[in-house]
Amino acid sequence: MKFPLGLKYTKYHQWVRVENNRAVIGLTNYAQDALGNIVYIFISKAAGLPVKQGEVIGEIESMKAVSLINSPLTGKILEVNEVVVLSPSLINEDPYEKGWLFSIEVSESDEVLSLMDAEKYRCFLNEE
Amino acid sequence: MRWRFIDSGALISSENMSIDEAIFEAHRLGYTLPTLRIYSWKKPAISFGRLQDVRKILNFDYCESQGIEVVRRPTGGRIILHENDFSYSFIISRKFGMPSSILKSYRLVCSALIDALKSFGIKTEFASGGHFKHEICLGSLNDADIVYKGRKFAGNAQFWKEGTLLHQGTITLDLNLNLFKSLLNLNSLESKDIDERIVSLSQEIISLTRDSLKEALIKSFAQTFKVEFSKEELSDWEVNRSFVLNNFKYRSSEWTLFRHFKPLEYVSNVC
Repeated sequence: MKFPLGLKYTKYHQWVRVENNRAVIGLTNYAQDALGNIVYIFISKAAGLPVKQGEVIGEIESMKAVSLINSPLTGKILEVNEVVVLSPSLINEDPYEKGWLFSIEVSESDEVLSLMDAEKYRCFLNEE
Repeated sequence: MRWRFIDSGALISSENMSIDEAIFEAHRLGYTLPTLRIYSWKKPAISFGRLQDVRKILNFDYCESQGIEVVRRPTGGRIILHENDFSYSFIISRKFGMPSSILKSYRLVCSALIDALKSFGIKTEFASGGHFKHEICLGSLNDADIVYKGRKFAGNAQFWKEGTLLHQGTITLDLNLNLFKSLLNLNSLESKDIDERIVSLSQEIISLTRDSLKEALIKSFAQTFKVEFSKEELSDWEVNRSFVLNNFKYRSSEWTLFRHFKPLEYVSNVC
């Protein structure tokens, strides 16, 4: 299964692409595969609003199952991917590029250090 | 290991949802073991999915005039009428062996249902191919659904939080399809679709009673998960929590009407 090396990963099966103090977040290939056909996504925080690490900021529905979306980092929402909101199947089709969910202006850079790299995430999946 | 079995009997719709969520939260917090709960509906009730917008499809005023309750579930899925249903919920976390794949988790839970029905000579199976999307639960079909002679007779839906699953399922023993359709704003094609896709099991199988199905389901869950179930009551924590959830979440018009409504903090920290 594909886990790009340059990304960070969370125990909630999200990937995080960090560039300076901007982080782009999406669901990993493992997550989209486990969820199945995604039919609905909702991000409750609009651009400009603050978020805390671990805070529930959205919900996702696939196969009549609802799961929660957490923020992996503390900061401020920069952008929500409205294309994915309109076409949630993009998460299944292209989880690491077109299927990104939202971006954050990171305010607690130490939190980035606590995220897993690709190898650690792979080990995490094996242990689960 | 003995997991819990709870028989709640017949309750109103908001109580049923509140108890399921309270059991879910107690298990997620590590207070309880996995729990199989069986219940029915004291009054006819419409339930619909946590993220479903039913304001266009459901005639709320007509429901009220007919004495039919309306409740939004904590789980996903689509709209359904509970009248003479056999309903169950199963609360379990990944550390007790539930797969993280949504499809695999549905298949594991529903395989117990298939086995239970098999003991009555009723051959049901997972749907294969011919998937449908529909605003009505029993009118939609995907890989996680089970069918009898190609028609849907049960609805299942889930909510996941931090590796803990709330699975809700219902079997239509005797669905009044005309009443259900009268509560909905359907076009003729949508109406015809559900006529062709739904079957009520007790119309087909006379020997299927609520008590016999309950016993068969407990037995098949025990075999599927290789555990025994012991009949228990809700804990004091669960009773108190469900009281709060009933009064402040599931009976509130805000939760019922608005799919993204967040109840008060002390209620919403559950799910």
